[in-house]
Amino acid sequence: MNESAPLRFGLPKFDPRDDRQIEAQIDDELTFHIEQVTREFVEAGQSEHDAKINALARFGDVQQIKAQCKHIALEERIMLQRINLVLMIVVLLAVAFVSVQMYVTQKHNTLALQSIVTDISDMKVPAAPKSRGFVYLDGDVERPGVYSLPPIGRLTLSRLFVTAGLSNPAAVHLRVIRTVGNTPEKVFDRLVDDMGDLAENDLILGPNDLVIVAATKDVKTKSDE
Amino acid sequence: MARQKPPELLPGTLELMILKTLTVGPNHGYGIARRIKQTSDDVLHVEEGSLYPALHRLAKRGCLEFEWRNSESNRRAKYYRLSRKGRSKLKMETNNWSRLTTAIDKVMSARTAGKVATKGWA
Repeated sequence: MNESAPLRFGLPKFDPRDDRQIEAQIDDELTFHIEQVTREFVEAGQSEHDAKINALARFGDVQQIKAQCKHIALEERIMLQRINLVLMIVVLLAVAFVSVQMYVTQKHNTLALQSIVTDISDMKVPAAPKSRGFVYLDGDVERPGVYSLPPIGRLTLSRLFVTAGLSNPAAVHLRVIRTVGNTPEKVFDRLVDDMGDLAENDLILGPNDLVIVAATKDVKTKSDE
Repeated sequence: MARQKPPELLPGTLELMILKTLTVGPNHGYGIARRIKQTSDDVLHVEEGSLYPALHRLAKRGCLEFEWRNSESNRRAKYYRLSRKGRSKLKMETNNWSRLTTAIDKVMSARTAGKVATKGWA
């Protein structure tokens, strides 16, 4: 006997009823059968009570039959649910895999970035030399003003004039006033008529030195007054 | 006298009998079981545990159609009827059944001939 179902092509047929409807209809159908058998037994002379018990006994495991019928009705739906579940697990696994990979990449990038930052911070970049102070120049010079002391080397009086330029290089009276604590003090005060001589007997300038240049002998500063 | 145990059905014969029973007209599960019992002179007792799954399987395959309507006892019942697909399946299965029973008959009747053939051995 051929037990197999005929070949079906195309999409499987879906039962349009929902689970509850299917269950209720199976219940109704089986209950009707039991009621009819009970009636048959009553007509044969059994009491209502005995007839009902015997009908149920003859029927067998009602719950199992219901479950079988429900399974047949929902076969495709159960299959689709399983496929759905498998697909969902696959998608979840893929998402988890991508997330883990993103996390690992991000962590790797963060570490690499931190390493670059550390390398940069470890690099010794020479700091810009700081000025050691200023010298103030006034009087008969081409460029009077404030001159900064070089961070390396020394600024001497003769070198200052090389930069500032003397208006009258023939003979000048130079006076250097240095403030130690709060007291101004003359550290240089003489007539210079030879710059070569000055270079030989030069004065190293210090911070806040005030240099006054006078083309004549009468150099007047506030300290003189 | 001890009651004889009802014979076990061959696989697939229940479906064939359901389809055949429904050629008379639409019927519910209880009616189908009763009719099989009556027409087989009380020899075949269809178990409900097999009947209902078979009915649902046939309906699922499109061999049966069903509708809910009031029975003769004025109770709502599920009536099954043969679909076009069910009729063609019945035709096909009936042919298979005929071939099978003929073949079995031949085997059963050949038993005597076998006995005759072994006579000469002694």
